Amino acid sequence: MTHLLHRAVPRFLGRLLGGLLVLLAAASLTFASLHLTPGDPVTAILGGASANPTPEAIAAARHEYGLDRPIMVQYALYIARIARGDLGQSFSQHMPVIAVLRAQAPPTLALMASSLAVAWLLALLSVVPTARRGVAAAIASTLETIGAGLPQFWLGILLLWGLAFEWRLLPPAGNHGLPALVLPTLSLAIPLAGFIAQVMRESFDLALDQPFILTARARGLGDGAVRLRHALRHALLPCVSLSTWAVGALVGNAVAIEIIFSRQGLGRELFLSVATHDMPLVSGIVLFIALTYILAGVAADTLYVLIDPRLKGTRP
Amino acid sequence: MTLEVENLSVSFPTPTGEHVAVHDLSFSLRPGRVVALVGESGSGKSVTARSLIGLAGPTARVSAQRLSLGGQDLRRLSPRDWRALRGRDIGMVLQDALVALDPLRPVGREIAESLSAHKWGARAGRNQRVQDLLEQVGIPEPALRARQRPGELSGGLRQRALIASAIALTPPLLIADEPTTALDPSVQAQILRLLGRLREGGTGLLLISHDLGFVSRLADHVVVLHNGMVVEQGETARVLGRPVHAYTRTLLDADPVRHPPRIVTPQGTDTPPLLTAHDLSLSRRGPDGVARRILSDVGFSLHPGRTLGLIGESGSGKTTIARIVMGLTQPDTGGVTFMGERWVRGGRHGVPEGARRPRRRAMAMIYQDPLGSFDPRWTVREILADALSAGGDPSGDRDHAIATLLDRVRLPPAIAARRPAGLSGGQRQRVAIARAVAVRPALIVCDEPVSALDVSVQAQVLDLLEELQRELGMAYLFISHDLGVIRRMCDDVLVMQAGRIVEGGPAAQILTAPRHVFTRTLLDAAQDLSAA
Repeated sequence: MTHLLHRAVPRFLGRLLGGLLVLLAAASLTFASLHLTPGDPVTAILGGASANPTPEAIAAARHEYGLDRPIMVQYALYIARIARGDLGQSFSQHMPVIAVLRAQAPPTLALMASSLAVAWLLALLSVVPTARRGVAAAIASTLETIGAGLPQFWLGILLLWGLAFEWRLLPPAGNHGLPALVLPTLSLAIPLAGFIAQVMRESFDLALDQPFILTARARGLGDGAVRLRHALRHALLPCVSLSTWAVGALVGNAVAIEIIFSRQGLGRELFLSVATHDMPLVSGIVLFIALTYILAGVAADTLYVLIDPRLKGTRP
Repeated sequence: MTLEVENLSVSFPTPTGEHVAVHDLSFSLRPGRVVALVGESGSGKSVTARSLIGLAGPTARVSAQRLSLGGQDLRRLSPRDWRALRGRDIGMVLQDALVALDPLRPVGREIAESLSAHKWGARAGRNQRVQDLLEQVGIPEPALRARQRPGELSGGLRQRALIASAIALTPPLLIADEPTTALDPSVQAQILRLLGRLREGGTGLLLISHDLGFVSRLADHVVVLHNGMVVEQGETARVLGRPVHAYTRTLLDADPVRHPPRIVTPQGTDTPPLLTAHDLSLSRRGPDGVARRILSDVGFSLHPGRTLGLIGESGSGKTTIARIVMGLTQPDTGGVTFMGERWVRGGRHGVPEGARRPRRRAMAMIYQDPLGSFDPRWTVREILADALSAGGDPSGDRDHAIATLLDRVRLPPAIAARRPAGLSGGQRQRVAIARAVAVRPALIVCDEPVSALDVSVQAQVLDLLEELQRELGMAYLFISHDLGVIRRMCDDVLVMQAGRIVEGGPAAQILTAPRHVFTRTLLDAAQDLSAA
């Protein structure tokens, strides 16, 4: 037991260190973009070229952000501030960046979670009952390819027009309650389901050819049980890997979807903050996304070992 | 409960027409009796086994004049009736439990599934039954083993667990499809005894195998299949003792045990050895973090033109030695000298690859599974052309050189245009040998080169290796778990156990008068399996 602990602790520390490095890289990139973009960082901080701040405000900001010091010192101060959890002040919202994140992250996280869950559900429904079943497999596989190719914003507009405006089944916009979540979720989930299902189908078909499937059938196990209890587990690993990538992609796609459906959220906030050159807020959101991505990686690693215990101890 | 099969035919539709896999096969199987289906791969043995439990596949067309089990007509069973029959009336054991049991689940749950699929008992009762079954098939510490996955068990234990899952509901009939192929001789002997016990307990056994020694020890009745047709069938002693059909005789003659042993190459005392290894040791950390010795103080030497055999059970370190000799694995200590110069040096500071490169082409390798060692997109011509240019061929007439190589391994020139996936197992291994010979090596490392081949193909490939050695004068480092193959191929033999050489010397002496107790166990196990 002690030697297992002996190995588990460095592994956990290694993961933690890796995550911190990714965060540091994300913070450095936002710092670089703040200083490399054309124009005075002070005008960027104070609201861009159109903000027209007073000379006193400029001088105050210059001192507050340490912009009158050498760039390496500025970088160190910036990282030290972030390490303290101080992400600065969003000028477009007139409140601390942390407060903006606190208000805007939950709706986006809810949208991401529901999209990922619905995408998995759709993929499972499409693959498990149809794999290796002739015409059904061909039809489902074609639908998956079409789904994977649909642009999210186009699908969102189509759903909005059909289900919200023509038939008035669901609210077209807003953040309140589950019904408002349905259309944005579907817009994000359907293309993602196509991707996950394609990967799942391939490994599911491979699993069905394995000798242990024949053994299970020779035991008298029905086809449904063979698929659910044996083949499915073997098909999950690549889908989990894909889902880690999807967490990142969902944030990007949420930008368009939150705007189309007039939802509050990080995607929409990211778009607005870039448009208004609100650099502190942009950095804050980027760091938050990086953190989400790291946590998704940790969750995937845990899931790998749960699905395939043989991986225990083989991963660094 | 008797299984009656009369004129069973199975065919599959293909783009070029109907492919008949089994044609007019008839036999009957009673409890307590053993019927063996014998033949090479592609002869229709496995298709027959699957047809008997309704798992020949959705495209298969199965027809028979009579196909009945205890009076029940199997030709008219609904899918639900088939499910009820599988596992309860007929159990099935496949080859290689590492993949025939779900590698992600503990074996106990796999065995319990045989019970729950037929709604046998409650959970607690099933768990008790799983432990009883594991004990019945001779697995010690059943409570612990039930919680382990196939990959955590030794080859013998997991094959027993697979058998336990097939006999969970004590089916009167059991189909065993190549139950011992790819297992070590000592494990094969254990499985043989276990199946013998089941027969004495009244189970009827349909045994499918290409191993005639195994069949002769167990079967009452033998059916010889060739290309889906029965060429001969009858009582075991009669079919294997006085075969009538030419094909049965070919199968029997191909058994390496029947081949005269090697005429030992006289060793020139004045020639320096081609390869010497001394004090090779290697440890690796296991998944639990504990360092394990894989090799301990291994040393040997091999002279030009001679064959050194390496025998031992799987996991004894044979392949590790091959990898070290090839310069692919770095040992912790010791070293290898090849062609008079340093080739491998153990420890942190190994011999740089640059120093080895000029001698690389003097060493080639043949693997057990040639398919995995070919680029599937390359044709045979490209594979051989690549090897020829690696061998420093002056590339005068490449097509001529390739034709000569193919001729050397007894393949027609037309093979050059094909890809590995379109070749038979024997043809593939010949291409692999041609590739090895293309560089004009002084040494070929052969890692289980015939273990994946049918016996008759095996014999041809071994013939070829012998002839090439006579023509080209190469030395072989020959790894095999099959003592018959070793006896026919090798001048000298090293016996390995748990990473150590326990005995070494001339093949004739080791294989007839072994000194070490482990060698004797290996020989006894092989003796138990060979044809009487």
